[in-house]
Amino acid sequence: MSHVDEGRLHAYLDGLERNDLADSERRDIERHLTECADCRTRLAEARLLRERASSLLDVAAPASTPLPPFADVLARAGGRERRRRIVRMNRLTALGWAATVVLAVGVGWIARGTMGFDGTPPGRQRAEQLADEAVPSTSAETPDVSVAANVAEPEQPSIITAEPEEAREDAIQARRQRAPAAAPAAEPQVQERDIAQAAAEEMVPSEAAAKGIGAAGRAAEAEADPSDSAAREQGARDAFAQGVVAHEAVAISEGLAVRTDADVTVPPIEWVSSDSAAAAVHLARPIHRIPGLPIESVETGSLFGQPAARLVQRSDSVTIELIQVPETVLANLVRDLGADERRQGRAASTTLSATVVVRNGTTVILRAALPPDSLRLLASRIP
Amino acid sequence: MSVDWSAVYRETFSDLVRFLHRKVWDADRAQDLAQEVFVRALDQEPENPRAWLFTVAANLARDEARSAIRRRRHLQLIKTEIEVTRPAEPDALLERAEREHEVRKALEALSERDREVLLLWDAGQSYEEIAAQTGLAVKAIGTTLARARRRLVEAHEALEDRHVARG
Repeated sequence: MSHVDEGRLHAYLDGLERNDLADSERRDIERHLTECADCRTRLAEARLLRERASSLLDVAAPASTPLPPFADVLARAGGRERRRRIVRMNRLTALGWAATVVLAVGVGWIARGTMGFDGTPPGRQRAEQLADEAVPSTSAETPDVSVAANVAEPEQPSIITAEPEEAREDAIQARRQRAPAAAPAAEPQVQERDIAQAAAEEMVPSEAAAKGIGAAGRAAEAEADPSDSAAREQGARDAFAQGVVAHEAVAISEGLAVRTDADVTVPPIEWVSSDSAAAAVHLARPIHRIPGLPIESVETGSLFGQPAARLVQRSDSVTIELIQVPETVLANLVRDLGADERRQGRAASTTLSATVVVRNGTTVILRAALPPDSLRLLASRIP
Repeated sequence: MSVDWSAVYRETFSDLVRFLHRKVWDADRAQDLAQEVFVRALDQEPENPRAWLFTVAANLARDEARSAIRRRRHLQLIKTEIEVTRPAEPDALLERAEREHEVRKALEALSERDREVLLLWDAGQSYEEIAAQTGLAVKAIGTTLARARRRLVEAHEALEDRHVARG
């Protein structure tokens, strides 16, 4: 065998250090070294050079600091995602607004020709019908649009007064349903202001103007939905989706004593160990998870006779629980909760917090021993 | 298959900080960028997470260096003022900073590729990973490292000699 060049000598030493040298390469080189004094000298030189270089690099190494918690990364990502969603959603509503205007002008143009037979504009009915069809598209992104609708709340009264009597009642009822969620604590409102602020920071004036559509969209939704219970359910869903429900959600999960922790003693849901695929079949929808965190366990159970699933994920030493039920169970959860239970739930929730997000027809209740903000940020990462 | 980023984070974070530190020469900034790398990683499912992280880190550091050059130009204007108002540091810290500065200068004497390979190796990357990230052949890594180490040591010695000569 010919002499071992410097590169191979370094690779040999590096491989020895990291213990990832191919056996054959190692044997070849060592056999040659036993026979070749010249290469042994160069090996010693290479060794010195390596050591000198790494001690120099050590001089320029950062001081060792404790590993910051992985939750920092998640929180950072979550904060960014939330702002992105608000902006994206505002663009969507702006688009929706523009589409509505185009539609209205177009319909007006058509109506112009048909007007005058009996004085009533047939185009108006059609415009309403079309507007009704158009509305869901602006409110399709359930949680986010509702946040915007909420941000636009101050504008709502003026819009509502412009509506027919019936619709106003429905809308008021829907709001009354939301009221308990917002009333019990000042904290959620503060957090909401954060969202509003974030939205305001990211928004250009035209988008800010377009925000009104959120409130209008919801009022129109109430109008499109004549039955009381449906309006109430919508109100509940809005309240949940808005994240106002953070406290309500604590109440709900505590009130029902959804098991996780020493804080709560009675487990009303009997969880059966499962896996993601089976749980998805059980729930008849995909299982939601926070990306980037390992899944510790998947379980299934039932709540109000409806399928439920529980996913447990871990971030560092914190366990995060994601209880998932069909969105329709929401109304049940709200109705079955009395004020007393709500108070109890709040009192018990000193260390645990919970938050609720609605994703693709699934209500996901998150619980963890984390500050509410952190949990909300984690929740916002669920795709 | 999904990547368990929290596990990768535990294993790789300090290596990334080590790597980034020699790029941005600021401990806090290195930590910050390392976290940023993971923020970007969360939505990704790369085949080799470690290699992916180092590639993104190198890119972030490059962007950082570009904006640092712009900042420095700006700072030149007010430099004298900074030097006057700079608080006195303890001797040990100052000495450490000086030694680090010398290594930094020595590293700057290397070609970009040699420096990259050396820093990746020092941050715990294997020959295969370094090859994948730099586009070099695995067989060329040893030679590149040998050259990089020699240049680093020589450049550093030259700096020290100059130091001694100046007294």
